[in-house]
Amino acid sequence: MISKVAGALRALRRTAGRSALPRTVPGHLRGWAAAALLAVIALVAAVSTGLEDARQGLRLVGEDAGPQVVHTGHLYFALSDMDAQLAGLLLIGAEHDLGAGRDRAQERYRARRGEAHRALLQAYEIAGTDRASRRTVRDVLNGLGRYEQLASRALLLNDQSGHPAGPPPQNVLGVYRRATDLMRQDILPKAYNLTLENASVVRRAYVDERSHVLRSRVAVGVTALVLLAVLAGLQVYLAYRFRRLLSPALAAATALTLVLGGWALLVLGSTSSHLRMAKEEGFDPTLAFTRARAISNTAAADQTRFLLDPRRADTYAQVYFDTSQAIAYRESGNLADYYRRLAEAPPELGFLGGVPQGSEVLIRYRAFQEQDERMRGLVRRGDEREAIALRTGLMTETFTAYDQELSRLVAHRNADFEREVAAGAAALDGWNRGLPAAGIVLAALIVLGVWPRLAEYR
Amino acid sequence: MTTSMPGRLLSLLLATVLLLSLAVACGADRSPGVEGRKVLRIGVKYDQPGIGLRSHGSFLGFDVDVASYVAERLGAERVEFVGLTSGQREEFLIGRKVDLVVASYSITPLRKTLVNFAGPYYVAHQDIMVRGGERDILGPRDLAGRKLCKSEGSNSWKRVVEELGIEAELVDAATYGECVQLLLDGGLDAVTTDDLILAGFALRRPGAFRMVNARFTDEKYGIGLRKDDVSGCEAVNRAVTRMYQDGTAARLLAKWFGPTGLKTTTTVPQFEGCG
Repeated sequence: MISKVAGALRALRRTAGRSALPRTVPGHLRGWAAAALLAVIALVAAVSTGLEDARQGLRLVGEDAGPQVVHTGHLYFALSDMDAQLAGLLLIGAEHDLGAGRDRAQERYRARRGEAHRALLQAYEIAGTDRASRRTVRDVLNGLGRYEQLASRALLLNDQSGHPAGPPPQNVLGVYRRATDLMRQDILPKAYNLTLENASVVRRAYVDERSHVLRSRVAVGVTALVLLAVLAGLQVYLAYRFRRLLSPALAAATALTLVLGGWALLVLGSTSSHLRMAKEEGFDPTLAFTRARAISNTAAADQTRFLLDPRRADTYAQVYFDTSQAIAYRESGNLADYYRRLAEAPPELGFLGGVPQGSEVLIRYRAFQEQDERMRGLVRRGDEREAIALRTGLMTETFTAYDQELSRLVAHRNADFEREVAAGAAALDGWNRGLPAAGIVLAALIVLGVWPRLAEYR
Repeated sequence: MTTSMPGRLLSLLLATVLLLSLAVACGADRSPGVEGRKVLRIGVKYDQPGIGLRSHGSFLGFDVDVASYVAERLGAERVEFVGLTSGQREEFLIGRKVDLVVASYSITPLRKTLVNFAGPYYVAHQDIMVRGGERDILGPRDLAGRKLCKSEGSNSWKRVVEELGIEAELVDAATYGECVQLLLDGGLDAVTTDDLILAGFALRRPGAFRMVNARFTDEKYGIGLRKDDVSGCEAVNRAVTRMYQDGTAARLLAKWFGPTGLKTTTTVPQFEGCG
């Protein structure tokens, strides 16, 4: 690289030594002025490109992809809760007033279905021209249609059987298994992957943007330095040729260059740091809590399924354990071990990894796990009825309290995100008119500095 | 001399600009990840029939086919397979002996602290394999008091004995291959591990074994990448999504496990998320 530059330099000297550069004084003056004007154009272009890049990055991260992550998070939650409500309805059977009651569960099922359909329409719009994502949304929509058919059939058979609270007859369970397998193995993964795909769009935009802004800052710095050097060179030449110590117009141009370059560097730096804050303090935690909320809901539903389907109870218990570990990891061999260790210290890893000991979300998550322990204990002792009453009653409230705290955290971090994006955008305001004006003033000052000297040769 | 002064000054300026712009260009794009590599080295199992098995110098199995598909999607022109054991997976990745690991590699919270997981590309389920004539074992609870294989370095037996608290009689073996031989010889009543692994062994002796189809755990098979390659991990996820959307996943599952009667899932699994 060094040798390349040296080679270029030698070539340049050779041409300079011959006659590519003008030999007369007015010629020199014009040459200097042209170089200075070119440098002004380069500086203005560098600043303008940098600002446009920064604006685009903020738009992509802040207005498009960022909010989409929150929308698809809602989609997952609504779908997962549909299956949870269905499991609850089948579990209470003909005992319509058990726990929170049949009416509320039905109402919630319908509300979630509506939310899911709305979120899907939104997700389709969001997917835009991304073919894989559009296909995923279509698959989810088709899957949901099939799911709703199975769910209505399971509910109908359940009503016909009139069974007391507890596992329903085999024909009901058979249909429910198909429904829940469709939901958990086919529909929910796709919804979750959509969230992740949108998050990856945000991350890529962010990484690109950071490197663009860095490059723009270097470009602004270099062009400003070049302009300063040309202006200094011109001053020296005027002093040498015309015995003038300082041209006021060129001095003003130098000062303006310093202000413009310095200000642009500051603004680009500040936008970049707002973008970093938006990503790291706003977006990343929003995404983590959104995902925690999504899989926590499936964990709660797995508690109901554990009571609903004795043949698969071990599977649901094991999946519940794995999911709990993904939410808040404590090294443990089984659930009994996990409850104990979770009570001892805050989780090291997982979505809640690193939350402080006294935090509200951890307190509520622990309460949720304590009742899980109680529920499974009741089942082990053969008191299934009490376990069902607990799950459909008090545990629903405990889970809702935990879920509300997660929602609050999502909203809180999302507000941080939006605030940082807005602050970044605000820093860019006013440059649309200011920049061309500064460029014109700079050019005028340079012309003003050279014109009187050129006039001496007329 | 008067002509060369402005000339020198200008050339100095130009040289500075050239130097600085070269420095910026060099610092910009250096991708350390798996995207856009011409040759990808991928770690696979070499001793698991149906999944990753070395035979006459080449590798065969479901994982190997998945790895080839993903590598092609990533734009690689050639794949070099490297056989590895379960214990070598992190070491080979971190030590840059391989770029990707596709080796029935279960995603766990602890492993996630060491490597990046794309996928899962498949969610296997722990299952139980018994001799063809065995009729009494229908689920994990029926393993109480029965002879169960405890393969070295695997924690499948723990899922039964510790997580579910079922008191099976454990019989030590070095590998699952040995477990399967013991089961055949009558030294064992059951082998439990991931259904894909069991199906691979069952394929070699049609009729000798029966799968219980208990599916009592979720084992998420991920594709391991180096921790810093988040962008590569996302690209692999897109490749896996595509593998399911274009029907390749269903075809590969049928190719490798269809003959065993194993119930496979042919829709895309829920990803773990990169980074």
